[in-house]
Amino acid sequence: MPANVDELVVRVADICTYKWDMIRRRPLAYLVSGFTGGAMVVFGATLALAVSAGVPENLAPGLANLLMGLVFMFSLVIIMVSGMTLVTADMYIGLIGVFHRRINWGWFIWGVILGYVGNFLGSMFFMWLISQSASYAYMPWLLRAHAIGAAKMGQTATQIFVMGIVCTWMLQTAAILYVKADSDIAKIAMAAYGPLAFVAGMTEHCIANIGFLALPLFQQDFYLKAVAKIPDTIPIILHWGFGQYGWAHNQLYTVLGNFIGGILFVGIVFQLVSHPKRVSRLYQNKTNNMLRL
Amino acid sequence: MDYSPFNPVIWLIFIGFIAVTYLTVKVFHKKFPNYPNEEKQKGK
Repeated sequence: MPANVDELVVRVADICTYKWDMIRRRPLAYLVSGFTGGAMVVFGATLALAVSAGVPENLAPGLANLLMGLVFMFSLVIIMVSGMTLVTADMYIGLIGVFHRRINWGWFIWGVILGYVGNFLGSMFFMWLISQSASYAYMPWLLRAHAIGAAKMGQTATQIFVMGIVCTWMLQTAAILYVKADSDIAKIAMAAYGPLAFVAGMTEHCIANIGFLALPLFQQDFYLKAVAKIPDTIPIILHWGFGQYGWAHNQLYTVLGNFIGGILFVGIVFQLVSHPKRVSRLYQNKTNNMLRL
Repeated sequence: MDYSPFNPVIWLIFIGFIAVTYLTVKVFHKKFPNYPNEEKQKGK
């Protein structure tokens, strides 16, 4: 039987203790776990690009999104099963830890910053590696990577922000249900649902976008050379900064939206739905306050 | 405003979200001062 919601918040608090114990005692290990988690997210992004390039839109408008979601969905499975760090998951875990007095606000903020830095380095490094290969520097992958970049970075601040909220609402719902599930199959199914939903749903995830949107920037020279040969095409120039078609523009509003989706609509909701007296009773019989993912 | 890093509406919403989150935890801890070890402490 999967855990009930009272047992669930206690399990999440135990995971919080495990993770923040690592942050306190072995910050470098946590940073490495964030690096690996960030890379694992863009394993999925790379696969999504590989399968969705060249899919004609007139065949079925959502087909490319579905294919992307289907290959992306194992990213969260491998992160959760391996116990690596994904900062958007640690946001809701840390908040439940604050409710359970496992950590204070200062440690919560420090953990999120450290997790983000690790994820950033992993996501960026993996996509830089991919950009050094020849595999994605040709049509139709070159065009597809650029089209995804232009579509995501071309949105307004509000559009990105809203899809950032939706993304972590769906993704962290899946992540918390992974903790709730008991059997391996149920855990895999729950973890797979998150990325499938957020990718097929065309939402914005900060760690996925770090690498996903960096790839067309790393390959922009190849892209410009390739489109120069296509008549009547005016290329969209992507850039690293703020403003339309900017990497930082997308990243800023995605991070803000991701915070709200995971904390407000998952962490706070599950904590407030749990029964405080029943949770307290569960603590009476507890001997171990640490749970490794 | 649509492409500025200082979109006032979004930043206001975000600051409001931080305030709501902080106050929710604060009120919860005020209502349950010994949470989550309430029963254990009562028994002592």
